[in-house]
Amino acid sequence: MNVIVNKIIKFSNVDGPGNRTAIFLQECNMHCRYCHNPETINICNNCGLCVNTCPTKAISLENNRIAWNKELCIDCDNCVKSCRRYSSPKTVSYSVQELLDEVRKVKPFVRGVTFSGGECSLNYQFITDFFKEIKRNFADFTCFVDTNGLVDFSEGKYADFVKFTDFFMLDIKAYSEEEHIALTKKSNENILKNLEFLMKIISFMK
Amino acid sequence: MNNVLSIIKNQGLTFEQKINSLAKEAENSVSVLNIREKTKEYLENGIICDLFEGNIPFRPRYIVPDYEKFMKNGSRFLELTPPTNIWEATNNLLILYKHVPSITTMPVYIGNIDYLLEPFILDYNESKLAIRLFLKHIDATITDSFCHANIGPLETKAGNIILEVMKELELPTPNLTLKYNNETSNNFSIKAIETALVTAKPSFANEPVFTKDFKGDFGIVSCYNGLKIGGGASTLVRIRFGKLAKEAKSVEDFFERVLPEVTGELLNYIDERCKFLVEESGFFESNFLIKEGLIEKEKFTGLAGVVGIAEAVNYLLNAEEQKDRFGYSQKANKLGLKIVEEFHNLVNQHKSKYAGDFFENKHILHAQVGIDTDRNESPGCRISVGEEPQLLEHIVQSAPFHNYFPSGIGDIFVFDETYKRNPEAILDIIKGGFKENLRYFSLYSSDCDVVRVTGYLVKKSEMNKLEKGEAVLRDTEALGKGARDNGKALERRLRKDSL
Repeated sequence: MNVIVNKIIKFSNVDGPGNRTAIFLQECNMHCRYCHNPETINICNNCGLCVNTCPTKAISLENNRIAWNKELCIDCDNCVKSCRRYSSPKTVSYSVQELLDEVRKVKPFVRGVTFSGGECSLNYQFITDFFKEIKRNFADFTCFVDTNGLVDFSEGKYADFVKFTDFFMLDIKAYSEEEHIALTKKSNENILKNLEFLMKIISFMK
Repeated sequence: MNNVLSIIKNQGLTFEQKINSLAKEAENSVSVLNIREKTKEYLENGIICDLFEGNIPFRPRYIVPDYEKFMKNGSRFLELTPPTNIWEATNNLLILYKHVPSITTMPVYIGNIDYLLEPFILDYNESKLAIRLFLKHIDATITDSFCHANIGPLETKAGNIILEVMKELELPTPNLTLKYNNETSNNFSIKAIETALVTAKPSFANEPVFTKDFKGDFGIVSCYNGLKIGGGASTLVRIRFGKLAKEAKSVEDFFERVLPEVTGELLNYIDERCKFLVEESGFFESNFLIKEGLIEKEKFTGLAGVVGIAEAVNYLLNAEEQKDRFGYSQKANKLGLKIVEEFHNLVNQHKSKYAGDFFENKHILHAQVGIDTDRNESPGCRISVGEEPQLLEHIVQSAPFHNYFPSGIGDIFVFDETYKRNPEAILDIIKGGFKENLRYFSLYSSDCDVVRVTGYLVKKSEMNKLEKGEAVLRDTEALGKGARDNGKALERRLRKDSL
């Protein structure tokens, strides 16, 4: 199983307490008006529109698939600005082991990993497998997810995901249903339900 | 005599700065050292630089008195009995500080002040007042910020008060280092980081690494020099490697001819300076610090300084593009390490009767932070300002160099103010760095008035006064302005999320 990663921030001081590695996954199930990284919303459809905007030829179409050469990239973000579908050609596909190797390089300096996005819970199975490996390899690490909570974590299929996540950073965009819909076009019913569900688990943990 | 008059008439100098400048004029009017012709050439072209120590070494450059002994015994010479309360303790120390010489005339080490004061901390408010007056007194009378205090490794009541007061006062002097080890509490470390994000101190020293190098007690002195308690350094002479590299026809030529020759001259010059101090100046016979056992000659050594490794490497490899330069390319980093290793071996092979028995009669290495008039010479083994890689890569690149410099090396990291809300993140980074055997770590925040120039601290607001031609209290503010203008010392990469 692989996952599409938009970005890995090796040292982050804003994704939970202490120094943490933040992993931003591609794809989101919301489209908030104020989204600060809208290029993470959709998976690239290989349309190729961005190819010619790249001044260093870091992006190309190979066998009708977008390819990104990180070595050539100068991070001007022309490609991202030209994208009409809120996506990015600058993503990398990782297996659990490959992502674990990335985290291993940073290990002495951080106290854990935080998945963000996009909406990371869309890849809950991958994250569950990854967290299991983290717990097996780096016992003192903490595993966080930063989520919009749109899916219902009390459903059975999320049981392991919830079990192996040490902390949820639940982003409640608005408490009022009306305001939430205005901001995100989605109801916050599940989100508030998740809040209660997760709070119960935390008090149970303590 | 023109210099004498111009010193006297200079309205940009305080009275004290004039006296010191006049003394230096007098010292430099006499020549006593037997300097070899080749050394003179290197001194004139600036490849070897003695940091204006003066023509006659009549006191050691850095003195690291055993203040614990002083607190226990008092001083016959100063007619002081051992202190019995916080007022006597701080007063005794302030008196002794005025009698500890150095190259700048002011003490560069004032003790592990938390441990020295801890036995006298009874009432919190009274202790805090005493410590506030003590620190303010030091800042206003020891008027250069090479004056350095240490705290830790263990958390104490005194240590906590010192951090609180420093955060409130925001003064450059004294500089401060927290000796950090596994037993330093998180609470105390976080408090130290919060203080540093306001007033650019303390720095963190990797205590086990220094303890091993100095076989026990050590002090962090001046900019960040590690030295032996009860000893010090007689002199510090450095090589400007950026300039030196240009003497070489090739990398091979650098290692085979250029480096051994200049190192030979450097060591001879260090010995010559130490020789006068030890054999002729009378310092080690007459000074009361010796007589009262607060320092011992055998715990002194000489320091061989290094600057401009980055420029030397980039020149030798003709590295223009960022990916090929020091700090980025494996080849460049390896060459930098090889230069330092070879230099270390040459210094280590040289036995001198003017380096103390404690150091097995050897001089030791110091990664010097540069001076205000340096151009095209990055401090020590640091990556040039403006070229710093991301934080992780930066730390991993610099750590291997730290092994060679028992008498000091370290980087300075500037953190975005968002770190004030998550100081634990910085502690995680320091812990990681120390696991990689980093020796020393300095930090400040982008919005501090007190900032770390290259090793010492200055107030940005005072440098601005100086720019308008006004006299300022501390001589280090003049040095800081030079380093800011010539060395880009305040344009370090700002560490934000991910940078």
